[in-house]
Order: sequence, then C-alpha cells, then structure tokens
Amino acid sequence: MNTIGNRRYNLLVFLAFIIPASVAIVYAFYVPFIMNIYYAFTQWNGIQKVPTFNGIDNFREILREDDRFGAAALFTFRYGVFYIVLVNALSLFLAILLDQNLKTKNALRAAFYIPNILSLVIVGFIWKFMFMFGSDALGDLTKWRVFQLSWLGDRFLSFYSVLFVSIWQSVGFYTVIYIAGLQSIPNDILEAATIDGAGSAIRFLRVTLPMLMPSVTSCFFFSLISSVRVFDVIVSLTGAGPGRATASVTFDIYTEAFTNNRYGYATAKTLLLFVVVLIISIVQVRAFKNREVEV
Amino acid sequence: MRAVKRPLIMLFLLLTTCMLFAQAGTTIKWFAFSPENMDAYNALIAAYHQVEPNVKIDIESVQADYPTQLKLKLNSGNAPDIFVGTLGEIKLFSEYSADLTGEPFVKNILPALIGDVTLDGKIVGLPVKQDVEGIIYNKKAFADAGITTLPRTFAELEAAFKKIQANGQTPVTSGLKEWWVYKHVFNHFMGAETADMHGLADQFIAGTTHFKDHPALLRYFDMIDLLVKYGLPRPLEVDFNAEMAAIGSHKVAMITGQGNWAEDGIKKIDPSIQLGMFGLPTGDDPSKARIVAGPGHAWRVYKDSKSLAAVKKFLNFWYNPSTNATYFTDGIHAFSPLKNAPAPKLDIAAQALDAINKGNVYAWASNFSPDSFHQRFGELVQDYISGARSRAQTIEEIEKAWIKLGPG
Repeated sequence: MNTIGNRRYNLLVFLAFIIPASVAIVYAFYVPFIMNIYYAFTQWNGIQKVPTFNGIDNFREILREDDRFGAAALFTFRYGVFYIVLVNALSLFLAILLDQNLKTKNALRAAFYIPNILSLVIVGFIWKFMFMFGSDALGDLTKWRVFQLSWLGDRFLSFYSVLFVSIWQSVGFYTVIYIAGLQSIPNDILEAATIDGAGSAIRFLRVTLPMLMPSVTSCFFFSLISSVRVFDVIVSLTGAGPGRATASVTFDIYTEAFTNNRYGYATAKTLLLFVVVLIISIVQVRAFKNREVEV
Repeated sequence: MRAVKRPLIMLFLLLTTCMLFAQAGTTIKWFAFSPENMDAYNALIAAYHQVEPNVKIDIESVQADYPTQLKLKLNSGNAPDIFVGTLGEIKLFSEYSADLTGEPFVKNILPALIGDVTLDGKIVGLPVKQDVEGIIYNKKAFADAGITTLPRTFAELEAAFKKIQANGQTPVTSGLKEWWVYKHVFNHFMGAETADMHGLADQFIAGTTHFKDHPALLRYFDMIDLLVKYGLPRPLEVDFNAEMAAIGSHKVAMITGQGNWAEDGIKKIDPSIQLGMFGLPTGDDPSKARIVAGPGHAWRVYKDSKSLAAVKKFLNFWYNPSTNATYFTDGIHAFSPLKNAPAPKLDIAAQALDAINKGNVYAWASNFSPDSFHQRFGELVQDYISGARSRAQTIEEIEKAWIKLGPG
C-alpha cells in the first residue's frame, strides 16, 4: 500500500468525523463570540434595526459610573468565596462519611444527589415557598425567632438564603466526585501510613488530601465557574431582591440588556466578565496543578 | 397505455401541489401577554374560525420576561404578526409597527384613546383595554370596623387603618415585592401634582426639574411609610399572588397598587367576597384622591408581516362590538376601549365607572416613562423601605435614573 495515499485517506476520514461537529461549534459558539465583541463597542437597544458605533464609551461608563455593576460584582465575589469554600468542605465531609461501610450508604448517596437532578428554577420556587409560607406556618407553631426573620426580604439574610439553596442543590454533585476520588486512593498507602504510626487526622492531611488533589482541582474549578454564573436560583428565589441586594453580575447584565434596552452596554459588561473569569481560572488551575501528587 | 401513463402522473402531481397550496391558507402568529386571559383569547380565536376557517391563528402567551422574548423574536426573523408593548414604547417599536390608519375598526375605538397610539399622524397600535387602579377594599370588613365614609385624605386613611386594627385585622398590604406596584401608587401623586403629567415626566427625563420643586410628589414617601407601618410583617416578601391571597383569605381589609386585573384571582380564593374601589389619598386635599383609569398597553402589528391583510381582517373582527361583544368585559375582565361599551362584570366596576363618567380620574402617568425606569424606581424605593438609603438619597437616585433611563 502506498503510504502517502494511506495518510491522505486517514486525513479525510479524520476530517469527515471532525467537520460536522466543528461547524456546529463555530456557528453556535465562536461566531456569536466574535459578534459579541463587535456589539460591545456599539450602542444598541435590541430593537432598532441598526446599532450605532460608540467606541469605548461603554467600557468607560462601566468602570467609572456604574455603581450597580460594582455592587453586583461585589455580591458575586462574596457569594463565590462563601460558595466555593462551603460547598467543597461540606461535600468532602459528606464524601468521607458516605465512603465508610454504612448499611444505608447507597440510599444516603442517592438522597444527597437527588436535589442536583432538579432544575434550579424549580428548586428556587420550592424554597421560596418554604421561606415565605413554610416559615410563616412554623413560626406560628413554634414561635421561634428564626422562623419570624425575613429570609427573603432582609438585605442581610437574603444573601444567606441564596447561598443555602444553591449549596443544597449542588452539594451532591461534588460529593460524587470526591467519593470517586477517595475510592481511587490505593489502600496499601493508607495501611502503610497506619503502620508507621499516623493517626487518622495526619493520615487525612498528609496522605488522603494530597492524593485527592485532582478531584479538588476539578471541584474547585467547577464551583468557581458555577458561582460566577449564578443566575437561575437568584431569579426564582429572590428576583434579585429586596431592592437589588442579591443581584449577581449575570443578573445585572441580563437586566441591562433586556429590561433597560441597552444591549451594546450589556455586551461590553460580558466581555469584561469573560476576561476576569479567564484570568482567575488560569491562575487557579495552575496553582492547584502544582500540588497534585501522582503515585 | 404507456403513452397516457406519464402525462397522467404529471397531471396528478400538478393537481396535488395546487390543492396543497390552495388549502395552505394563512397563519397569524399572535404573541400575547397576560396568560390568565388565555381562555378569552382562545374563545376569540374559535369565534373567528367560524367566520374565516382558512386562517390559522397561532397564539403564544407569556408574562414573565415578555420584553426579552419579544426582542429575541424580532431579532431572529421570527417576528410575531401581533405583539404588545406599553403605550410609552411607541417610538421604540416604530420600525416594526404597521400603519393602521383608515382601517374600519379605528372608528370603533374611543376617540380619547387614539392620541396615545398615534405617532407622526399614523395610528400604529390598538389600545389593549382600559384598566383602573386604586385601593381595593373588602366592603364587609369596612362595615364591621365601622367605617362609613371612604377615606380621601391621609388623616382619614390612617383613621380607617386604626379602626380596622382595632377590629383585629391587618389594615392593608401592597405587594411591595413587585416593582410595578411602586409606579402604580406613584401615579396618583403625579396626578395630584399637575394636570400635565406628560410634561412633568418629560421635565424629569430632561433633568430640568427636581422632586423638591413638587411638594405633592414628596408625599409619596409618606404614603409608603404609612403602607409599611399598617401592612403585613415582612413587607418586601409580599408579591402579587400573596397580595391577592391576603385579601381573599380576609387577612387584610385593603390592597393597594392593584386594579381590575386582580379581582379574578381574589374571587377564586373567596367567591363570596364583596369588593369595592376608591382613589388613593394623596395628601390633605380630598378632591385629589382619584382612581387611575385608562389604557396601558397597545397591540401592534408587524409591518413586514406576510399575513398583513389577514391580520387586518382579524382586527376588524376583534375590535368590532357587533361581532365580538363580550371579549373585553366578560372575557378579559377589563374596561373596553371601544365606544358605548358596557361595564365589565366586576365588583369594582360600579365605583370605577362612576368615577370615569364624572371625569374624576387620573390617566396612567406611567405611560410617559419606559418600564426600564420604573423597574429601577421600584428597586430604589424597596431599598428605602429596607433602610438602605435615606429619603433624600433615594430621591437623588430616582432623579438620576430618570435622566439615564428615561429616554428608553
């Protein structure tokens, strides 16, 4: 067989498999992204047939005048920090618990994972009902102070309500990843550590955790991205209320584009968000990759 | 036989294609809002089907995010043939609205409403309906609390609140979670301040005037304080559904910021409740406590629609009291925008119609600013209620927002 013909044939087969998917991705993802960059430099209300070009005015306005975007960015940052730390700590804790030989292990694992299957919008509505009417009813019954607080109507508490609901919904997902990570740690290393006299705390910190680093990297990365993209739970639970206390960056961009009819301006915000998230992700993944240990 | 076969097949194919095209008919895409009126829309479509069986009307109805979905449809080439916008958005949609001047149904519409749907001398919309808004109250609760005359000043209103409290009921709730309740209540204060509300709104948009120059507007915040003080606990958690539930289940005696569109929901909770409506007091002058009445939205027809002629025919059927008698009053429970129409079968209709006929109403000032401003307005007053900003700071932010978002 002629090797050159073989190579060309292989190339053609390769392209035949790749091209349909690539065309779809380019059309649905890269082309809109390029168009996004174009619209970020225009002033457009989403309805006029032709947008008007206005240079870097949008970016100037975001950085100098837009205090609502600043407040939303601050909210997203606080939410991100709390969410990433809490969800990873909680799911790691649950993974360790559920990795032991309990009789109800499988049922418990399913129970913790099920909220993750529900759509965030439905979860938001259920918890909205619980926070409003449920806590009303429980408050009447028990007269406890905690039920009489305004979990969705108080600026300070609504942050924790949103955090709670999204952690409740997603903890199962991270638990599953950590369980898989825990199960991939070879037993002989742990036995060797026990023989050498390591207590359970030291075993966890010096053996388990370093070997779990790949899972930790993935989970941290996932939780970082989901916390920046938080939107569904805010819309269904608080509507970004009260006032704008629970508005995240994505919510601010959404209302700017579709309610305020400032499509070009909102697109400029999304570009800024993209750059920030890109930088944070690169830094985070690099930092964690350095700590991974392989056997 | 062979010689005949081929031309026969060709003829058969030709005939079938012709039949298919003839039966294709036209489709009208109708993108509606207020899904609670779906029954009325479907009844109208069914009635029209009797008259024009070849026309298919595809209706889609959403409430949440209607503006977002409309923008998506207009930009993706799926523009609906009939869509809705607020009266204030007439310029926004001018590139997409068909000219309806000279159509037969135009003469059926109340002359007072034509101005709001006219741009540069062309009629580009149809008023959807007329809404009324004010304080809706439970007549029996008022009688039980010993309230014999309807309050028309702040002092009388507070006295009424106290009487209801003494009778063991929460006086009022206002759905303060919803951003649009704030513009409805504010409407009364715009009307109390001036007869030229459009001019006043334009001045705020241009930044040439301030709240402090208009004392009647400042009393809006006194009203908000009053509503929070005598309202349900956790005021910022009460949304529209909770508000209707509160009055329907007799938890409160009055609700504010609502109108004819709320009665149906309240009646579903307690069909035996007797409701009435009176104008929100705006200060110490009893003559300035009026109900707000008028149209708020307009149906618009897509200018480049392929079924434009069919749509116009449908509109002639729809906005015609002889062919479509009960749609406005019984179907969508609202006041009709057509001439000589009867009142809707609502409890509040009697008092509202009385006020309308005496001319003792305010127009919808909220038509003169875009909803993007009103949403921001609602958020700012919510911040005021939760104590995040003082009254002066809130007013300053409102003035800034009016300038930034006013032009739309």
